[in-house]
Amino acid sequence: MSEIEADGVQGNEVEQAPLMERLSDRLSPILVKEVRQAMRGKYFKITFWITLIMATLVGLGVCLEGVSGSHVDENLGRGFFIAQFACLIVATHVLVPFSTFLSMGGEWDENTWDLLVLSNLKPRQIVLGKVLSGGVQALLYYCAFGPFLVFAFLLHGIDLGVLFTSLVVSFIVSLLLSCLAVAMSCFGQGKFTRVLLMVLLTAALVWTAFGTGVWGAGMMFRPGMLHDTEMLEAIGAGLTIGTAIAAYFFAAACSRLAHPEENRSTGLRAMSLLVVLSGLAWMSWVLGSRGRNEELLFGACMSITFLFVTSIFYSTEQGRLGLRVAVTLPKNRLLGWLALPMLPGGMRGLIFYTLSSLMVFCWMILHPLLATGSLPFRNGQVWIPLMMMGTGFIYLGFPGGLLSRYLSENWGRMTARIGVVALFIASIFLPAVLGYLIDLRSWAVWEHPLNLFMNFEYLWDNDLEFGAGVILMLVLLAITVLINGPRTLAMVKEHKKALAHRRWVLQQQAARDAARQQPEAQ
Amino acid sequence: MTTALSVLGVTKRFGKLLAVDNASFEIKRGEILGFIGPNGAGKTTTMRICATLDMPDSGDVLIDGRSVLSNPREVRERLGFMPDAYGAYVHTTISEYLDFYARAYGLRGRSRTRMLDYVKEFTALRPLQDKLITALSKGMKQRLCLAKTLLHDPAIMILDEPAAGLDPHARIELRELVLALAGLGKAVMISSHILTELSQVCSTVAVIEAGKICATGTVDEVIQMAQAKHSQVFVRSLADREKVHRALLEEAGVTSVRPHKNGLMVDFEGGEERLARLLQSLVERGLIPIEFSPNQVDLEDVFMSLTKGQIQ
Ligand SMILES: Nc1ncnc2c1ncn2[C@@H]1O[C@H](COP(=O)(O)OP(=O)(O)O)[C@@H](O)[C@H]1O
Ligand SMILES: [Mg+2]
Repeated sequence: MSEIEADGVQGNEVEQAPLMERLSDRLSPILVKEVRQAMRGKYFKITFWITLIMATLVGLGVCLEGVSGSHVDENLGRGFFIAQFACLIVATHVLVPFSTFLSMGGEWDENTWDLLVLSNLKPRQIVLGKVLSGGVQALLYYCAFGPFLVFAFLLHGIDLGVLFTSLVVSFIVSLLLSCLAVAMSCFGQGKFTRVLLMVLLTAALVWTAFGTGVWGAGMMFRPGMLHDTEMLEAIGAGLTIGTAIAAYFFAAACSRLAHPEENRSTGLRAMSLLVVLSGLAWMSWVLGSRGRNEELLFGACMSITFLFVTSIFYSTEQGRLGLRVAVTLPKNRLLGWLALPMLPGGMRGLIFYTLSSLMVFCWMILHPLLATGSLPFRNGQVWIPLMMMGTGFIYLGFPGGLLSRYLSENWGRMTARIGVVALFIASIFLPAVLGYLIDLRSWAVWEHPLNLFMNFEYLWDNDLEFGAGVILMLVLLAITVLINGPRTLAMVKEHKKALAHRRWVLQQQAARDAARQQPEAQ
Repeated sequence: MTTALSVLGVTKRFGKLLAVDNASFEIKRGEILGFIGPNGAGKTTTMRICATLDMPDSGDVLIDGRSVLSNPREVRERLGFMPDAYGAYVHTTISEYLDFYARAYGLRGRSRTRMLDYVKEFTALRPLQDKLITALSKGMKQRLCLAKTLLHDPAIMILDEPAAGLDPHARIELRELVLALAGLGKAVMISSHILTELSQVCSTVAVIEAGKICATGTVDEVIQMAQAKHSQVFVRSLADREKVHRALLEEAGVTSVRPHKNGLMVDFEGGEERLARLLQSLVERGLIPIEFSPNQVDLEDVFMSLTKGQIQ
């Protein structure tokens, strides 16, 4: 081909390309790459064809079974649909998420991770690309199953609403599971960790697939359920909570992928808050103008428990602000201090836990006040969330405070995290076992002073009084605060210094810019 | 010439091992810096720090005036790094591979097409563009990675042992590519523990050993520096060889003398001035040499003398 001809062809392509180009430019580069690799890879090809063959065989089986019976009834259509739905679920809930897990892991195994980082893709883009590629693969399965599902519909007995709902819900769940899978793939690169993660992931996937399958089948046999508000609420709540959890895992994956000196915590903390806020908003909506003490307390305690669990990680981060975090602090002094609980660092994590738990407490007071104008709590019930918060503070603050000097090391953080759990178990179970051994009945049935949860039970029926339980709790709180004194001081000092440095850098920059502009002006 | 890359007192430890010890040097635009040192000297570590992939324990690196610590994203926009070991995706052709990274670098629409054409032309990969990467030879892969590194038109290129594992022909090709890059005004840093190919391309060198930079400067400067430490002179005189031998041993800077061909080979420590004085004093003693030739030292010898030859 002559050069002129080649130019001509290229010129045409350029003329025609813009729309397609612009469309494909909008897509995540990772998505384009992932889908291409997945389509060509053995894993997808093999699983795709096996799934289709299985679906055909199972479908044939169901049909033969149905036809050989005395009469063809509407159950045949349902049976056929459920069989197909089960195959589809296995593919989209287990095989697809697992392939995203492998593909994320592949970036390290195949030594391509550095090149990705260098290309300046943000962790968020990388994770999103992987998740979306899982979505595309799932969509391919849905398309491939289309003929089967149409056939099932033609067999009668199938509610179109149920068919549609179950497909949409299962697709969303598949996306959420891909999110979970990518996140889990980021949590560890060691051989042992990977195997462990794989086992955990497989369990989670199979369990969810089973759940979705049973739910879909149930709906198919009782299509009326779909018009039930409670069912709709349940679907809504399930999807909201699922999305919140997936979003949390997404944020966790992004922070794992971020550079160690980068901010690996603020996004996660924001996500924790978001999960709690969406949970509380959902509760508020469901409760409406009701304001029952059990429900409010349940909501508050669940939220604080969630905050406690996620704060196990935040409160054991290394105290030092990362090199790349310090330069992103707000310029404004006040904002700088307000941002403190959201910034990475163990002590800041403890403050985050305390403040966000207080926020939950405020919700518990404000919701009934606004909705009904009165507080529905009897006795000392209103104190329960605060007691819970204090208890959590002790468990979080003890190991983190004691080990604060070693939190910059990997082992230090691990020890502190395990320490929180170990302390929890030790303080609740050991006295009980001891009570059993020395035949102290009340201890053996968990009624020992170290069981701070006893306070909650007591407050349910009694007023708050400064008995031994409360005093012990306050003493322990004071000790925890003392233990955390040094790292609090260090944190304040560092924060002051970082803010001052940030302002100094900005001033320098401004001066430099001014100096640069002056000669130009002359 | 403006400074493109400056390494400012970078130190990096891996546990107890001091991998890079207070290293400082700089590269100007259009310059090719050879970063030489034996295996395990800390070349890769230094380069990874320059490329924002690792963090220094102390010190900083400025790329076009931007700190790798505080502005990693801006640094990555200006920098092309070719790691010594990198993976390629399976089931991907050269075209698709480059297209992916072009997208990742944020190139859109026509500018992407144009850039892809350009790098394929530059690295002569166009005829192979539909080949699977897994089917490429080492030299081709190296060129592909170079093409990928060029996609965002970085002002500074860091190539970690790009010549390792290449056949002589591919090495020459690589050398020409690197020279062409410098011709485009890019600053290039290229590391190696094999010197022959570096001595012909680089304008400056930095020699690193056990994490310490032991010499920096232009190739000539470093050679002089090495000679200042140690060099050999061949001396032939019409006078009695024994006499010359004894006289030489009395001179300052001479460490050993041995017969060599029809003259004497002198191991000598000190710079060129001292060498001139040696010649002068021989003449003054009446032992006029008819041949007095300091050995031509090339980069390889410099390297050996600077690093005590600890090549693994
Ligand atoms: N991630 C790491 N962990 C521990 N030690 C490392 C790591 N990377 C490099 N080293 C050590 O640092 C030293 C310098 O390594 P490197 O920079 O790769 O040398 P070079 O590239 O000059 O051959 C070596 O002794 C190496 O073993
Ligand atoms: Mg190396």
